Amino acid sequence: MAMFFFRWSERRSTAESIFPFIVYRTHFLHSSIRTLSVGLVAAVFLRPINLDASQPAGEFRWSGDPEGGAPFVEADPVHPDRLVGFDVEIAELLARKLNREPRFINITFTSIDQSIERGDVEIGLSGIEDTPARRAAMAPTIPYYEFREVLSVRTGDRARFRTLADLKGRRVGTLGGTIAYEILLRAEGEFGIRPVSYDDDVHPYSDLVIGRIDAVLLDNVLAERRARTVSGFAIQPESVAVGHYVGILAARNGALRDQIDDILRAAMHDGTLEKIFRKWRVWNDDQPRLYARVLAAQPVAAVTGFEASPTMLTAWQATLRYLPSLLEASLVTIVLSCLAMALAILLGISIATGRVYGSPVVRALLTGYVELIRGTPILLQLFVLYYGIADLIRLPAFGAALLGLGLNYAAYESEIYRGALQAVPVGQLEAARILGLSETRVLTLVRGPLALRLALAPMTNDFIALLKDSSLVSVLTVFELTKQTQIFATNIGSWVIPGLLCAALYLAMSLPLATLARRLEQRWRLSAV
Amino acid sequence: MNNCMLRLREVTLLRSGRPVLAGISFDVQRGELVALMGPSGVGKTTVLRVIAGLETFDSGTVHVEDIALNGANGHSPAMLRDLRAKVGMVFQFHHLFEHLSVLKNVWLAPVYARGIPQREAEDRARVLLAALGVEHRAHAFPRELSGGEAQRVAIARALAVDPPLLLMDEPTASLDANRRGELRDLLCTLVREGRTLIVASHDEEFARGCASRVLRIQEGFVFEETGTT
Repeated sequence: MAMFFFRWSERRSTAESIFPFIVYRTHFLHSSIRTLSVGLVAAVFLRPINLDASQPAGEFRWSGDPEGGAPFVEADPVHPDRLVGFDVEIAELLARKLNREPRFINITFTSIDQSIERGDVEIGLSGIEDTPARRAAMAPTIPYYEFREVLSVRTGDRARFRTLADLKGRRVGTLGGTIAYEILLRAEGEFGIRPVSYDDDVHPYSDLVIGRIDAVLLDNVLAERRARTVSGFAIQPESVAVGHYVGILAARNGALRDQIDDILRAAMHDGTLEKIFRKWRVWNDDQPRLYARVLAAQPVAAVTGFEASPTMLTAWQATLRYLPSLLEASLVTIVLSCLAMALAILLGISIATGRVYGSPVVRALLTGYVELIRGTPILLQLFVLYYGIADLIRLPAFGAALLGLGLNYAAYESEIYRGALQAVPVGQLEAARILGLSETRVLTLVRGPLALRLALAPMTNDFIALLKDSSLVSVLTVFELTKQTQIFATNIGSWVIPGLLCAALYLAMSLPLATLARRLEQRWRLSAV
Repeated sequence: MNNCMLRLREVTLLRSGRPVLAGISFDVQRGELVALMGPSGVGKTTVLRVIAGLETFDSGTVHVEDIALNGANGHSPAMLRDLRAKVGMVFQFHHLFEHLSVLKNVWLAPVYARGIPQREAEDRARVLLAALGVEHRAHAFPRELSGGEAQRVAIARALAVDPPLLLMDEPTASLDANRRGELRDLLCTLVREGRTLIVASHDEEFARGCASRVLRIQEGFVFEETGTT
């Protein structure tokens, strides 16, 4: 497992340097699938494994997510095979003081807690927030940086959108699985805002500037960094909440945590941390005050200005709390899948008909479309539709998701229909022609209906696949079942109940469909024709 | 052509360089029932398919009344449209539309090819099915029919568009002796009504019992037998 992560991490760094956009975004898919499958199976069948003992004594295995980028952890723009960022330097400091060699393991931000619990790494350092839930379930270090949750709005809206209360009915974006997201969920009930969850901290700001959302709530570190490269938005001076970055370790690693706390205290005392943060231009007056409290052993609240969920919920409480949102997300999944499949069927039939009956030029064009769509990843197609052409056509998230899935599946459907059309026995067609039916009538009255019967089983298969592939559209901020499950799992720190509920809901959607298809097949059962 | 319904002249058809039809010529007059005979695989079905426009041929001409098919020029869509108003065909394996009921198999073409109102076409279909003794199977699907029933439904479907020339390929293939007798009577009735029939069969007894003339195919040529009824 260790070797797998190491190699994967290396491969990704290289790929990022070649085509950072794709790697950056497809990472979500990798992480989701890996977390869903490996995490769930491991959680159900295995007891937590302490791999620490099996790790080489000289290695200090730490994890982060370069998607967070600078100033936390990012690939060095000059040497993409190297990582830079203040969390990288803190990890190196810790390793040096522990007389060990730092070894970075790339783990997606929302899965760091679970990976630490599994024993993949010893510590997570990636702008990880101190929360009451983490304090209850894990072994966080002392806070080493204080940040403020700040609201960013378009420059022209600076006067009218000063607080969350001003944003009633407006879409407000943030990074999923963060305190900011929890604040937005709370504000949804209090002020009627509409939270939008992103998987990265880049697109919330680009979507803000082009008007897809009306505000972004994120750490001042992230907001200020983005303000240096993106124009058109302003950061409101008032803080919504105050939080802290910590390193997190598994609860069973309390001894190592204590050692790390000592190293961090010494670094606060001798100015090493200040030097690191100054280098990354994030040092401010909040930090000396924080360090003074920490060094004086005064208690530091995880979050102030917002009452975060106090402790981990019991399984039953968590289920009751998240079930409505899972059901709501299931509705999005089923509606999106049905509409996308309807679009795919209509387009697929047109493409197949064109390929069977069309002129050579039409056939060549349609073949090109099918090969283009089948030969490129659906994630790339979704990104192009939503972000790539945003300057030309600003599709809404649901519209882009529907179009992306529909256009992609149309290519696959068309191949099924083409095969089915060609499989209709010639005798049936000749019988229709000899009766004087035109070719159009032959197609619509005889060949098409017979082909539909032949295509039914693979179509059902595709619809069930589409139902699951619809989870990919969460990268376009569409909140469907898998995304909601991921947030559920991140918030409660376990995949067991969320995974089982998610699986049950997917089955509840796909099984009736499969049953219906089987009945139709029986009804349409053909004798040899 | 006066009373001539069908005229074939020097029709040749090659498959992989081998002549299936080696220059066949024959005429069929209006109201005739001609049996096309010969052992299996000799080319009887091919002759019917050439006449029906389902198969192109290499040289020669086929005239169906005033419609001329030329082997050298191929068949234009307009020519085929005109041809199919005059020629009907009952296939050896029936080729009933498997997804449609018996009744709809019969009224489909009158409605969608001839523009007859559906109610009228349905009534006509029921009359045809009754005349052929399969009205009680009107709502069955082809897979539920016996061979004899399927045969009669296929005939009803072909007659529903009222073609003056009806081609039948091995009509007795799936019938027992009793049913063969009934079919012979039916064909005689159709001829009496003024229709022209060409029946391809290797069933000597049946063919000789109903045909006014027998044509025999042998090695790609057609020979006329004498002394038939």
